[in-house]
Amino acid sequence: MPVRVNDLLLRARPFTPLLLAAAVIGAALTRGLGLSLLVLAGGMLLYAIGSLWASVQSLGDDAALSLDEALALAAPSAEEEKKRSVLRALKDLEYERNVGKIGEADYLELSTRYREEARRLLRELNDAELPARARVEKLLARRLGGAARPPPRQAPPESEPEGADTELDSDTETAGDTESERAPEASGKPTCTECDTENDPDARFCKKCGEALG
Amino acid sequence: MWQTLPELGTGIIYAVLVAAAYTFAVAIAAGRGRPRLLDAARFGGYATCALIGLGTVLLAYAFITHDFRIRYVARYSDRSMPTAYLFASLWGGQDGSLLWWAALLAGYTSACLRWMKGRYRQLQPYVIATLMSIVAFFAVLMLFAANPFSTSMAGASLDGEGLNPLLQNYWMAIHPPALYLGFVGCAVPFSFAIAALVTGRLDNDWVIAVRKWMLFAWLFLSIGNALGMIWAYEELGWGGYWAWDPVENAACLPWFTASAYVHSTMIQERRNMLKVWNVVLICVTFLLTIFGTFLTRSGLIASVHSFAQSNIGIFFVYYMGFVIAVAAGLIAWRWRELRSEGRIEAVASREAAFVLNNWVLVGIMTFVTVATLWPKISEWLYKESVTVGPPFFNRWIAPAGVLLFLLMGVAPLFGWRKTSEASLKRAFAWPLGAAAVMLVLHLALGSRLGYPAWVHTDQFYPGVVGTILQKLGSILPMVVIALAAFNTAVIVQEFARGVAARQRSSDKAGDRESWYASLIRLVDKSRRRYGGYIVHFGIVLMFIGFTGKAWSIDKEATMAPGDQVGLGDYTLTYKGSRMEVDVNKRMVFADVEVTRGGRSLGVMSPAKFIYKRSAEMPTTEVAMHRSFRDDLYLVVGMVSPESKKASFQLHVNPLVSWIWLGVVVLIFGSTVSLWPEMALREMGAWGYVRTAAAGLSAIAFAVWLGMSPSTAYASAREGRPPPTHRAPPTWGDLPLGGAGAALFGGMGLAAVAIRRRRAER
Repeated sequence: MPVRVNDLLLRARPFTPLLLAAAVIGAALTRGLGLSLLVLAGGMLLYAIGSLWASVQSLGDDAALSLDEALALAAPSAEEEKKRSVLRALKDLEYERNVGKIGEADYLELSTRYREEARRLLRELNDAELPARARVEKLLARRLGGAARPPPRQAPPESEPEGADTELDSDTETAGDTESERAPEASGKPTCTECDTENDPDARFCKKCGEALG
Repeated sequence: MWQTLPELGTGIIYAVLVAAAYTFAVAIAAGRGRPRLLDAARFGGYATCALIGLGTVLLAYAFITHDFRIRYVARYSDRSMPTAYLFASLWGGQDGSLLWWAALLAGYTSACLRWMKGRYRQLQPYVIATLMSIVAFFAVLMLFAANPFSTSMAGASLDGEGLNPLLQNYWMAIHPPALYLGFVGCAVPFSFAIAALVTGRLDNDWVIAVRKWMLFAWLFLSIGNALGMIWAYEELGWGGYWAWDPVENAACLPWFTASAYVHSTMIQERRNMLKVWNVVLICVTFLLTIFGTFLTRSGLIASVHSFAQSNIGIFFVYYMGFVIAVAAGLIAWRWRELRSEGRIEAVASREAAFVLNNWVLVGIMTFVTVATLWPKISEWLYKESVTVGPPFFNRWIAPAGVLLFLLMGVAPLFGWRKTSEASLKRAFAWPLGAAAVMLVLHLALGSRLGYPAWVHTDQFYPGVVGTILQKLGSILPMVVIALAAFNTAVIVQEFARGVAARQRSSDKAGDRESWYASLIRLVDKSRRRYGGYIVHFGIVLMFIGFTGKAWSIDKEATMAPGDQVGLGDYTLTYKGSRMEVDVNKRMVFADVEVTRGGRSLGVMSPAKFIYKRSAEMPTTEVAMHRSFRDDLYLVVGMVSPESKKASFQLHVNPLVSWIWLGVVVLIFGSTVSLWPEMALREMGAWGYVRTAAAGLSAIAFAVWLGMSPSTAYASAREGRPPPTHRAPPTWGDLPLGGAGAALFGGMGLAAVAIRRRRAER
């Protein structure tokens, strides 16, 4: 098929539902509901044929997967799943403390337990990535002619990996940086010098802006 | 007339079967190590959906053009039917309703394919394969048991038989489609569950993926059942809205399990628990939709809703057996991966409350299933068919329903994992106080207001069980009203706590929000939670409405013109009867003047309609006076043409309008929960799709406006004759149709243009 016609068809594709709708309306207004249904049927038949043709053409496609496609095939590891669920638990705890569903003592006990678990999982995930990172560094070094690269950085245990929250509801946003009005202020909570956010006692980086805490 | 239309229609169904089989095969190949074939499977899926749409449009064309060669068209339509009813006849009978089911499944499949796009690539092949297998089943059904395009042996008749007069009302246009949307929607979560089991991808990705699909299906199951209730209440004339008819029961069974799922899925997402339970719930929900379809069509249990008996039941039995075997086999295969390490840490926890809630819902579902099938079970066990009726259901379901109502209020008060004693006391204080105050008020003022706290009920069973049920039945209305206050207080408290937490947060940030800004943002940030609370409030209103039955007043009276009868606060004076005739029917009205407390409420005219085509089946036209307090519901039976004496059934149904109000609130709450929270990257594509869909819908609405200036209506109550089938629009109709099309088409195109400009920015 000539390239220009193919281009035109590709550009027109998003508008085909509207074009079909316009044809259906036009037929309905000029010749009646019967013809409009036939026009609609014709459009559907053409779409079915086109889709089947595209499907058959794709059967022989052996092109390599793109990076996005390959990533979409990847499955989270068991540790990744556990990490998400533990981080979710921490968010829920924070929310429930702020709305008064859980007492301070219970909150501290559960929160400490989950934070330890989250740290352990983050360390495990990070350690599991180290060999792959080292391989990537070697490949890069070879590619770039052996230029010196810094050693792989260890991710801080408390930091949340990117995308950790994408599948999580944001229903604990109300927790934010608040403390329960019923709970006495816990001692030793570092305040961020950049954004004045009060952080947890064992935090090394601010949970709001990411600045390193002194 | 299009000579080959019936053959083409049948050919299209064959093509659907072939396309579905092809897509199934390609999808399986894509899942087994050839991911590039996924695109081929997706295109195949789209093609299959388009073919089903084509078949549906062709059947609609056959109705519009009165192609009475096709048996289905001749059976369910005639030349005098308005256009809207001709379209509604698509699902008026068995054959067409199967095609309609397939059409909705095609719609869901297309939407699911579009939504999945580049995501869930490991699950997609098996999701597509499962959906195609369901399509193939319905294609097989249509080809071998109920072909909507089959022709009459005797050839085309001059006119069709027409739709059952009971179905010629606007409810026919909305109730079946809404209920089918709910039924068919359960196929998507089921497909994801099968895909997760086959691939072993039993992480929470698929659970999060199906969450909104299941909620959408649940919403339409709720709407469909509610519309059925309203239809029965307004049209059938027996004074109630739910008769525990087998088909009604079959429609609500998947609602119970879907309700259980939308709660227990939260436990899996947060605690990685109940994986087996959730998978089983999804499979059972889908199975119940097939079972419901089977019950409606097989004639297994007699029902007012049943389609004509046919041999189609055996196909459903085999298919249900196949689904059970596959699902059970896959669950058993993946049992080890499904087992979770988590456990319920405390009884006073939300997980424990949700588990209890699930048990009650599944228990009610099991009870209703067994009771519905009891005629067949008893025949098998005792060689005697025993049918159980509404009193049996009402007596047993009521306590279970009240337990569910209690759990609905209690569960939000608990925290996840654990709730401390002090927190529990704080959480329960206000709701218990509200319940106590309501109880006292009810005891003190109930009788004076016409809603006594204690209601006499008959003993249904002899012995201890009967006595317990009778005593329970007597106090349940009081308990429900108190629980309604409890639940309402819980919901208000949850919102208040959330707003207070937000305001503390904003105070700390030095940017104090107003309370309504906090409320809006609170709901916006936590749509599922607070949308759920709004749904709960809708259910509170519905429970209040259901409880009104305890105080209903029912009376039968035969009156001559001038006679008066009292009914609660109402005084009814029978003025006399009159007859009107139109092209389709004779209408016998009985005029009754109504006063309440000396104040005239006007004249109500219950009627009997005797259709010419089915004179042996006169329909009952109810006259109703609605208020939030109660509905005055009048039904006329026989009217003597000589003496003008008329027999009446008179009902005062308290609080029924609260049920419908509750449904509206439920729909609003579900919409809030369903409102998308999408990543920015997805917003563009989805925005375009949604806007295009909105534009198309607007244009389709414009077509409908332009082409059908006489809208469908229930009956000629106002004395207006129904329109006969109209000739196609002429140029004279162009201004109205064109104006409508231009207005809505312009809105649709403007929406598309605005979306494209935003995407470019």
